[in-house]
Amino acid sequence: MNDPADAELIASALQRGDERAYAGLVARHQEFLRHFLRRLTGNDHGTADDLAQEAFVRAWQKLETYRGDSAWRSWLCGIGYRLFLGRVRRREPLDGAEELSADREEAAPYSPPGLALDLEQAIALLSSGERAAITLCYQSGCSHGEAATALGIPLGTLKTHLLRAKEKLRRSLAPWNHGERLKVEG
Amino acid sequence: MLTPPEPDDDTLDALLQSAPRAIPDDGFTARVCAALPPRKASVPPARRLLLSGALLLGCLVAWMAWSRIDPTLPTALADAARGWSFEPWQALIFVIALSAWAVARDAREGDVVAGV
Repeated sequence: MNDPADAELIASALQRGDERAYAGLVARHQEFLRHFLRRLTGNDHGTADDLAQEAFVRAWQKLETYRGDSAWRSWLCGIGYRLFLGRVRRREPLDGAEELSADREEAAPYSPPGLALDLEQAIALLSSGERAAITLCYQSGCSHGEAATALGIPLGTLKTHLLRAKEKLRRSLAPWNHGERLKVEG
Repeated sequence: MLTPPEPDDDTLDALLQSAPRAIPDDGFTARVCAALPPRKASVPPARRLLLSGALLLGCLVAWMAWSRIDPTLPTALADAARGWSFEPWQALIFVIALSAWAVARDAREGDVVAGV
């Protein structure tokens, strides 16, 4: 479940209020969380880092409530995800944001220079739930169960998010299957 | 109109699983640590036991004192208090049970944190 080093750091932070132990946890997981949040925010680095910082602070305050039934980083991601959703809801309704994503997906022009960049853009056009599911399951190495727990959704919903996301990504990246494109890239 | 073929599942999976760009710390950890509010350390088990015991002893003493009071409170309340019989052996069992619960809870907390 948890890396033994994580478990030790969590125990120190929890039992002694040891900030240095917690700093160790932050250093170990900052890249994971910031990457996840950058994906969610459509590569808005500033917002993602603000959310990541807030998530780490919340996790510190609520460390007693971590029960260890999932990996710590999944629990942390759950906090980050809820903070992200809260921010989206405060600025604009989530449904509106998802509709906007769908509109943008239809109208999105195909723009190289690279497959990785196109993948980033295609991911940015997914809905929040789909983006979170794809990022956790494919890029963060979480199991489906862990990702579902982190996002606070049923396993079936997570799988639906993944299927839809992959379908959208497949459509967005379809032009890369043309020989000309691949030659340019190669 | 011809539609381009879509990448198959394996290609897409490989693309998605390719390692993301590294994000350097760049002082992020230090900023988080500077923003951490002070946090109380959890109460150690011995202290928890002592507190539980002291609380129960206090309750017992209060109850014994209460039983000797000539009630000046409303009669109904005094009757209710008198009707509540609580033998010393029952108090002892209660103290032992609560202490066992405190110890078990503390042990479980340690296991949970360690991911056992």
